[in-house]
Amino acid sequence: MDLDARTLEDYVRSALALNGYALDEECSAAVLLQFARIATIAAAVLDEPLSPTTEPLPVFRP
Amino acid sequence: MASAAQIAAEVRDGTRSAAEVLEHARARIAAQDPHLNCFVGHTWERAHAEAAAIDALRARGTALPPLAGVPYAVKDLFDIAGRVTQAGGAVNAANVPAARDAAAISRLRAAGAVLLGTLNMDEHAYGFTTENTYYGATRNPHAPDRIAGGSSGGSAAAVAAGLVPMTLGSDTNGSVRVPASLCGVFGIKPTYGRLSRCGVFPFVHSLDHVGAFAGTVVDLALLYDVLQGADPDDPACGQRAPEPTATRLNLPAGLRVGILSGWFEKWADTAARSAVQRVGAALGATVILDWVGAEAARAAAFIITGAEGGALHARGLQERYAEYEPLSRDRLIAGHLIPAGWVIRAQNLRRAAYRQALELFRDVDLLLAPATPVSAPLIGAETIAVNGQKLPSRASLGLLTQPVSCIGLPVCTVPVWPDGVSEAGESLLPIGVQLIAAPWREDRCLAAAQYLEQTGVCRTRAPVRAAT
Repeated sequence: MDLDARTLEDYVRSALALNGYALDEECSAAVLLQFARIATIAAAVLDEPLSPTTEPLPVFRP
Repeated sequence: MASAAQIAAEVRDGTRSAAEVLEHARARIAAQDPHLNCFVGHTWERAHAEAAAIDALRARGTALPPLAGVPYAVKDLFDIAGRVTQAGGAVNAANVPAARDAAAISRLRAAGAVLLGTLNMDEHAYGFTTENTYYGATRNPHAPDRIAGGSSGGSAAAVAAGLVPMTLGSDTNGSVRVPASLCGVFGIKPTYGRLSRCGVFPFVHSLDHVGAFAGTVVDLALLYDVLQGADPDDPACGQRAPEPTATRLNLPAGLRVGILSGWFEKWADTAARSAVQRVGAALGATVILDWVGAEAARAAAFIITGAEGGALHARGLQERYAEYEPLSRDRLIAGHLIPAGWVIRAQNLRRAAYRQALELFRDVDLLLAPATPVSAPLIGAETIAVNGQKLPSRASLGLLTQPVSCIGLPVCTVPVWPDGVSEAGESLLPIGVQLIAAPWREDRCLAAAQYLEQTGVCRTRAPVRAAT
């Protein structure tokens, strides 16, 4: 996954509005920075090959 | 400071009363904590009542419980009956007081321990540094200009400073193991579901664990044993009968030990890697293993944490943004925006990572890895440098703990003190090593830790650098 800066910014601004946040420009920019970091780290999850039969583990029970 | 085992023995044989133990602890806290900022609240009235109850039991000739008269304190996210559970947040100050104690505190009370107060943390447990804007930073007892680690920083520092012999913390991504590493104390993060989280302010339900700190392995095992047991009120609790460890701390013959490489070498500096080598040599590690899914497991933990933590606080952040911790509120909101598809994939990946880890345990009984990439950074540091790469400090100190807690494996963190001295002629700061076992095998982690302590490889040290 390779998201460009414009895509990230458009997504974050839209998602902030969709989720009911009314932040000023400075706060929105801070959220965008944090989301960009998450997206970078998320690549390791999104690029990992997984079998469709691998069930999620929402409540982990060893 | 005497160990918890020593205190309980002295109270039992009448050498000291529980009230005397309490007064000594109060004096230590009054003298030292203003410089360290471990405590954010005290429960003196309750403590005196609990100590008096123990002394009354002894006066009547009743057999005393295992932790009779032992002072302890808890991270600021455990419910204490009649008090507001703030979880490090000013935003929670007006919440309704807790109706009852957290399950862990109820069990400690039944075991005779004496609760002294609540300990500093990153707000809502989201951070690795315990630089709390509301309460102030907790200082590392071994280097007061440096962080204690987090999010259970007050819990680790209180033990390291000798204020109390044992404390409770929580660990979602490393919040026991990181501060244990930076403060040079023993810590345990049990198997996910081993200890009840009932009455603990949540952060990430999928990943939250109750954990503990102590100055010796015997104390840690005694504390862990008291905390064990089923609790139907915690849906994630494994509902297992207690499996005592304190009386079974001998290292099993033929224990097979491996060292994790790959991700765990890449993100560890020289001191962290050397600490693992030293522990590995002492335990007779014979193999080096690469858990290829570690990076993905860490990423999965990061996504699940952001999404669940963000969702938990979404309403509060929408309505009271200014009252939230400036160091984490934007991360929480960003987490709330994570697409559902990423979260589901992260949960899928957890199962795959868990299977990979179980494969590793076919060949070994215990895996070793550094607990933190580096030793304690300076308070206020925005970045840490690991092998020449600069990383954001508050999100990166858990690089080596997150893959492990993502799949719920039990870990005991043990303190290693590097040889040599700094340019200022002071001892080098401690760094922790994770002893990681297969699910439900905390006994192996603790037995290995006990061996390392007995052989002098790992131990706590009294602080020598005074905080001012």
